[in-house]
Amino acid sequence: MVDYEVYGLQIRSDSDIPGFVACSTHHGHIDVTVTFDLSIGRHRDASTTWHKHPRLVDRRPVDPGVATVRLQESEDYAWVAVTYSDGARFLISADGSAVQVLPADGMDRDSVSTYLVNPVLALCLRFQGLTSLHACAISIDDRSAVFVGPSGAGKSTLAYALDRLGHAVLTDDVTVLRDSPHMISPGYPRIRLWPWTVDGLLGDPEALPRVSSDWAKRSAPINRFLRSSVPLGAVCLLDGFEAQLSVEQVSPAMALMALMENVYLNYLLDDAARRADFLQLCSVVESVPVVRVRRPRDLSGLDNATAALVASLQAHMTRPGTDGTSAKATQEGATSIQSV
Amino acid sequence: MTLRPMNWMRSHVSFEVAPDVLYRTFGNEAVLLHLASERYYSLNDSAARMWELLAGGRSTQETASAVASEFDASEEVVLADLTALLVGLLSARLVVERP
Repeated sequence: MVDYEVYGLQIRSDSDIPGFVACSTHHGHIDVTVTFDLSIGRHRDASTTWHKHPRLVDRRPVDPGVATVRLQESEDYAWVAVTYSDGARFLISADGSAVQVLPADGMDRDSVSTYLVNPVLALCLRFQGLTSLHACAISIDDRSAVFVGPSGAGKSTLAYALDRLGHAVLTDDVTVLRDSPHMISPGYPRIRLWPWTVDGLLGDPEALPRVSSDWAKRSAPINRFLRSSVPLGAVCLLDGFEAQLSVEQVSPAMALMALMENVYLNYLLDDAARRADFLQLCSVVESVPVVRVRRPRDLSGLDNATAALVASLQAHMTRPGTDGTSAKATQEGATSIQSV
Repeated sequence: MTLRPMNWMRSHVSFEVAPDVLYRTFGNEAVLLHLASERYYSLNDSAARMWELLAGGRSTQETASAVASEFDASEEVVLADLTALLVGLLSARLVVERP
């Protein structure tokens, strides 16, 4: 058995999980057990009838470049089967405490683990009642800055740049919100980068190894990886690129809408989960500053732009918040409802 | 039966938040999420206050009076704004009339 602590979960696996770093043996409660070896009679697929999950449905439009996912529920409601379009299949207990891994034919451990370490563990967290954001998290002055954005927003590139500047990277792609005040727990000490980003940063797309044989992304080690949680200090909405770095604080209302759009796996979630996320994220935007960040796309200026961003965030994290409660005299036509 | 706009103001009509709507007021703005349509709505300062009062069970008349007083505005202007807001809220199915 190998023990890990990832996203604040105490994990026990029957085999190594690529990318994770083993920790000392857990002596207390185990949050998630992971089983790769299903030859010993615990294979739920062999004894279970599955039906389409009534609430968890992939609502994304079909994109040939993105693996779709199908969720089923066991006849006794105790397990959820998660099947990707390439055949990788995971059986997750409904309370998120156990995962059985069933690779597709010919799929190696590295490949199947790309699903396990992010979306499948994020589902376990979800089943345990926790909200995750599509975000990376960095420790700056002992507080975590969480950089939120959809795929392609540049989260991992920014994490890599911050790592290079000496800041501790807590997570690369998934950031879990737990407790209040919110504490951000570390994930695993790897950053995943597209080869063209590696080429732009290091001059050679092959400068870093592939995450797995069937995925183009490269795996960069995190130089300074923390083992402990860091209190949330600020949230940054990565909102595209422009010639000059800009950092501006956004209202809690705008921040809430942006964060709801960036809940990890939000395309799968039912109304009950979205209600829980809404409450959790209200608490976030009420407790820390949320800023919108636009930055240069050019990687040659990445270090300078990132250093300037850090300086701006340090100022935002020490500035007292504004409550914005002043009422303005209403004027004809001033009352508005706006669909966003 | 849906009342015509003028009737909302003549009588002590009140509304409640639709069951599939989440909302939060932050100071002088509010966010509404309609779960069924997955659409968000933002309300500006006076609209947010009207929403807060309506969601709290206040009638249209009570809401208009309170907002007129708090914002130092004429009741005529507030009534027009409230009517416009209710038309928007009802058409987006964000509120339902209390039985």
